[in-house]
Amino acid sequence: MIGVAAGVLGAGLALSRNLQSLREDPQQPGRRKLLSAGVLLGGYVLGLDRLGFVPATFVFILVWLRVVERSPWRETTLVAVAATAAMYGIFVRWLAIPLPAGFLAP
Amino acid sequence: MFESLAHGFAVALSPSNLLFAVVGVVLGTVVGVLPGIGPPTTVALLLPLTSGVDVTAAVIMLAGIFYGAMYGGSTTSILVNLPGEAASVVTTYDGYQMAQQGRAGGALAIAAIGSFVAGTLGVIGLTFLSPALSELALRFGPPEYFGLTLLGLTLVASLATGSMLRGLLMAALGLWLGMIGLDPVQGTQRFTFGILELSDGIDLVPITMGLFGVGEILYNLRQAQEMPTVRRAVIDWSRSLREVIQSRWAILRGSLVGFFVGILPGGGAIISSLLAYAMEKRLARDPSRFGHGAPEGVAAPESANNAAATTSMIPMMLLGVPGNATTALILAAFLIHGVRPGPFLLRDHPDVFWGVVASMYIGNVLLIVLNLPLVGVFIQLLRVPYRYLAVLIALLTMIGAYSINNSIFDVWLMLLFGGLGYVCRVLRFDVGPLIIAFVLGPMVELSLRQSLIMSRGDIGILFARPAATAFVLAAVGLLAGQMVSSSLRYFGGLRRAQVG
Repeated sequence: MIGVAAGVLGAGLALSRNLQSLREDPQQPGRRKLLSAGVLLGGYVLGLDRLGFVPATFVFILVWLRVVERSPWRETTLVAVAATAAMYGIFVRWLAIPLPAGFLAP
Repeated sequence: MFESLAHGFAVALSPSNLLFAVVGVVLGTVVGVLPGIGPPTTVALLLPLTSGVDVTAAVIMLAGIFYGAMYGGSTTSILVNLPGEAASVVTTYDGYQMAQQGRAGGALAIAAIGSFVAGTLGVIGLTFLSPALSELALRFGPPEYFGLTLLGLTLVASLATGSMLRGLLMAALGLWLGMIGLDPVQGTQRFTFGILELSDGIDLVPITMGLFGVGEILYNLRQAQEMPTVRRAVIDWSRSLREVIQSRWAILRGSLVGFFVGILPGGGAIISSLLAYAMEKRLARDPSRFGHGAPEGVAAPESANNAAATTSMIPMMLLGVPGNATTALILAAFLIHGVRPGPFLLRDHPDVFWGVVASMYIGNVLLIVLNLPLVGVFIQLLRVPYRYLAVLIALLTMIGAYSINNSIFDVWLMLLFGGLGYVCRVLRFDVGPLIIAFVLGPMVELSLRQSLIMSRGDIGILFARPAATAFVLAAVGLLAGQMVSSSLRYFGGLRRAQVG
């Protein structure tokens, strides 16, 4: 029990120091990338059930490349389409892994 | 034994197994070349997908990824001073220097040939040691396993890169995480906090994918690094050959170091490359060459890490005790297919075991064929901007985590560990001990409790048997020794501060 408390306190300390410097310079590209990536990851999981595998994957790649990496629109859409198609082909068709179908379900 | 090996070759050379071997080593080389993704993540990603494949083929491929990555890791270390693999850090010391001096081709050749010799020596050792070790292990009971896994745990914690305290902390965390779920003997729930999905415990795959995969991606995003441009490498064969011959003893010594250190649980490949380098430097007639492009400085660590990767498969396959994250995952692959590694592997599934061993010989040959001429091709891989890689890996980890149990919960869990992995990297904690402790901890506990059941509560059983006693004493001695030496250092420092 004491160990858990100590661990939580330690983590809290480390976090608070990080958050402080975050407030000081939010312009740093790295932090922005990190935060948007984190939000996006969570969003994907939430959206997976609701939207289904294919739409969620497409949106994920699109938004990630655009927001996190600031890729140009053409590149982004190209990669998003290609990658989503590849994922679909590999996971749904070839390996037949059951993945949430969302609102596209029959 | 040789008939078994011959039979193993027959198994390994079947077209489908051969195909898996090729896929494994190519994938391994690619993964080794690319920084930001390593063997544990790749094996973790492919693990759920191997469930449809026969066990021999699956292990052949996964093992190929493992030792293949040790080949590929040196490429970026030499060409751009960026280790593609943690075990290739030491190669940057002299390898990059050689590249700066225009001798990149030679460095790459030495790395490839050294890796080949070391890998092959490792497999030869594996071949000869296995029957004897398996015989010995058949006589192991719970007390011996307790001692062995305890020793493994202490070795992992103390050999971790970085301070020992950090290693112990990570190991402690791993121990706790391993306890989540059902008590192995009594069946009560532990640390599940009322969450139903946790009652089976946490799966190894989400933890590894999170800590290694997602954690690495998040950290790299934060660093916002740009990939440096790669210089063209022209291989001057005659000069390279001369340098290889010059380093032959370094290769041999490195292989030996890797061979023995690799069997020990802990950062086998990383530690052995460090040790081999240090040893070469000490033994050299002119140590000042090291750090400035000494061929031996590339030969030693590269041979060591390949030998270590190969021999680290031994304890996992013959004792059921994994020594690093990747072998722990390969162990999981065995279990998914219903094959239990350990002393019975050789007896009950000889074709699986010898098939894998034979494929390791084949794999090493494949790798040297791939790596020498095709090094230019692999360099082109580095041109792929990391950003595409990052999003794909993130996606693959999430899909992979979901596919184990068709559970969204596992994906959240993986992301949580991703966050933890990021924090660990920022605070410079090595994540390896956590994973090993997570795997070994339950083993330690189970063997201890089984031992106590056997002896009806008398802890003396641990010391009544020679092997068990030896292991336990070694483990305790190791811990005690480390504590003594660090407290001596601490108090010595205080003393000097006072006097000075």
